[in-house]
Formats: sequence, structure tokens, C-alpha cells
Amino acid sequence: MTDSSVRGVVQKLSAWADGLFADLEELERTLSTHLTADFAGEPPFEVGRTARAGLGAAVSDFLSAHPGFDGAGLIFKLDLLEPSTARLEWWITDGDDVARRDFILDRSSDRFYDYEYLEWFEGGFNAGSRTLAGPYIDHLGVDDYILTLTVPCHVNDRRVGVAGMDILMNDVEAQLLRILAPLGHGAALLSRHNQVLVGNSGELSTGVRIAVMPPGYSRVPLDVSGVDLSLLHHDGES
Amino acid sequence: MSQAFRYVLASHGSSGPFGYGDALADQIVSAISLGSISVGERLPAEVELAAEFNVAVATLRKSLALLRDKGIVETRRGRGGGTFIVKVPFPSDEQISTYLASLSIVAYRDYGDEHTAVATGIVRLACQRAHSQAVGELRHAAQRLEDATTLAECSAADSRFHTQLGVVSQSPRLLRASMRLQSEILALKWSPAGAAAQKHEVLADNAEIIEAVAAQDIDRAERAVEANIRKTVYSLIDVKLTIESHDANQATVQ
Repeated sequence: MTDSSVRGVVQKLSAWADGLFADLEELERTLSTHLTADFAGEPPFEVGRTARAGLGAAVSDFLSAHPGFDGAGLIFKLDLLEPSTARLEWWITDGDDVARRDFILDRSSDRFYDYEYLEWFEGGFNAGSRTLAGPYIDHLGVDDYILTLTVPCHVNDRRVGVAGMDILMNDVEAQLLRILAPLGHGAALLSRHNQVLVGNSGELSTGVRIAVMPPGYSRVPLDVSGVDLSLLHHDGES
Repeated sequence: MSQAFRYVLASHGSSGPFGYGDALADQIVSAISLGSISVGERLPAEVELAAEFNVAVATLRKSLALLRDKGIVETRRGRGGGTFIVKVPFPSDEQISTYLASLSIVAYRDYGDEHTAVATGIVRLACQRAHSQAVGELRHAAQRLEDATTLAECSAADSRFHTQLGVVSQSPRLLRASMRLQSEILALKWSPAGAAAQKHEVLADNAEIIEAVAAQDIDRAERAVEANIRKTVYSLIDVKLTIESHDANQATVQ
């Protein structure tokens, strides 16, 4: 393989990730405008009916325009919400439809969706940066094997949570295998933890963590602002 | 799918120990609490379930409505919809004893074999795949047991920890297998009439697993997991034998 084919794949992977975040950031701007009135003043906040309808319509449009996405919406810092009405504004695709998804937010419940310590919330909210988390099994969330992207969500200049979107790992695989194809066997996109998102060999299958760089392989960082991703590829005979 | 509700005990009769005033509802709750179906799992379709219990669908619906009111099950529409178990009532000592006595030693041993195979497989993958963030999430899940007070809470928190291990393994299939196996054992493990697990011991056991995973020490992690399962299973076999010898003595006296 040549340096130029590696450069080409790095460029395409970077564009893929950057494009996802750009779309998500646009969604965040759209969604946050629906909350300016309800989130004026001091917390606890409540999302009213009008705002909720607006959010639902906007996310529904977003998911319809991006058929590869599983779900999207807003996840708030829980203690900013009025406990009695707190919920996540999350919608998932359901066949040709888009449906709201409920999560258990009662801390005392055995099935409480304890999301604030998960990587996508820690990164998007606490660190306030573009975050790509996964692959992971979203137990008690959407209960699927997914990739989640988040960006901080600001309303009236206050950080209130994250805007996020999920892609099923099966779909991530289908999208990325095409991009990796020019490199032949032994290429993978790695997360910031050096965990394989998608790779095109058995050793480099999704979820495998590359603890030690295998001999004969190189790692090239992608060029995506705020996100630490890299391409692992076989050096070949070049 | 005849595996569902394999633990329904005929001896519960019409006035079940949960006392919902509805024999069928009591029977379903007994099955859940003894782990034949786990929290988060979907119940079989109403028609199938009615056939399983040999009742009319309308009768079953009435009992399910009661359980919905009690917060035991919930019904969701749309994608992945259906009736789901949301809460496990903790079984009574009497239920546990009846159940333990009904199982053969072979059944316990075979359960232990399967659980050990799945749990060591999970912890091996966890050692290989857990990054620092994942280890942090595991520690967070373990924390729930510290805060648990009742047996039901301890059992649920213990389950959360082992579920998180499955999450860290990155294998949805092993996670599902693990959740099924946990739901079979947790009430028996924590009940004073069963293996009578002690919170401080389980906390120490779980901490050992976390440290082994954090150190990516597969042998240590597998040993810890295997020892934990063995401890519970051996103890349950002892309890069963004690009940049997007690029953035998009673018979001799009479």
C-alpha cells in the first residue's frame, strides 16, 4: 500500500467523523432555541409542552434526513431539571417512524439509567467537548451495541446537558468498512482508548482493545477537531 | 420456548406468598422472584403465557393489569415493545427453602458449571477490553452495593455490578447469558434461607474482581469469579442437604 492511499483513507475517515459532529452541532443549535423560554431564570427547569413538541419535530426531521442514525436528542444534567417532570428528550427510529424513548430517571429504582458517569456524558457535559463514546452496550439506555456522539448543549449561555446521537455498531461497520477497503486486510479505526470501532480483520474486530501496537502496523491520528481518533494500518511492503 | 417459568412451584397453591389476592398474579411473581425470568426481560406473548399457565387470555390480562398497578411489570409500545418485568419482589424464606429442597445436587452443580463458564469468559474479555473509563464505570456500579440496605437492594446492586462486567466485556450475547444466570441465583445467594451472602464479603469479592480487571490480570480475575460462584453453589447444596436431613429426621420421629 502507498502513503497516498493511507492519506486518502485518513482524510475520508476524518471527514466522516467531522461531518457527524457538524450535523450534531447544527442539531444542538436548533434544539437549544426551543428551550430559551422554558430555561430562562434559575433551575430547576421544566420542558413545557410547546418546547417539547418543537424538539420532537426537529429531532424527527434530523433522523429522517440521516437514515443511518438510531436515535438523537438532548440529555440534561439531571439536577437542573424539576424532579417530578424530569425526562430525557430522546427519540429513536422505529421502522419508518420516529418514537420518543423513555428512560428510568428515579435514582432509587433498580433500573435507574445512571448516565451521568458514562463517557458520552462526562465528555460532552463535564469536559464540554466533542465526545465520541463507544463501542459500548447501552444497558438500561437503548439496550443496544452502539456508538454515541455528544456535544455540549447550551441554553441562554448556560451549559444544561448534551446533544447526542446514536449509531448502531452494525451500521457504523457498514459505513466504515467501505472507507477502509482501499487499505486491504488489517486496517481499523481506533477510539481514544485504542479500542477498535471497526476493523477489517478478525484480530481487529469491533471492541478489541489494542494494548500494545502490533509489529508491522502504524497508527495515524485523524484530523478531527476535538476528537482523538486514529487509523491503525498494516505497513505492507511499501 | 418451554424454558420460561420452569420454576413455577405447584405447592404455592391459591394463596401465594405475595398475597396479591390473585392466584395467577402470585404465581407469575413467584416465577420472577425465583429467577426464571429476569428484570428487564420481556414476558412471552399473552397467548403463549396463557397457554403456559393453562388459563384464558382474559384471565391472564386481568392478572397482568394487577401487576402493572403494583409496578411489577410495565407495558411499552412501539419498537421493542411488550410487557416487561421492572421489579423483582424478594422471595420469602419459606419459598426459598421449598425451592432449594426441590432441586437436585446435579442441578446446582450444572448451574455452577454454566455460570462459571460464562462469568470467567466475561471477566477474561473484560481484562482484555476494559480501558480506564470502563474500569471507572465498573467501580461506579460496584458503589451501589455500599449504599444498599435491604436484601432486595443488595441483590439488585450485586446484579448491577455483574451486569456492568458484562457491559465491559463488550459482548451483548455474553451479557444476556450473564443476566439470565444472575437472575437464577441472586435471590438464592442473598436470602438468609439460601446462601445468606454477607454484604461486606460480597463487596470484598467484587473489589477483588475490579482490581484484577484494572490490572488486566486474567488469571486473578478468573480465579476470583470462579471462587465466588463456587462459594454460593456449595453453600446452597449444604442448605439443601440440611433441609433433607431435617425432613428425614421428622419422618423418623413420626
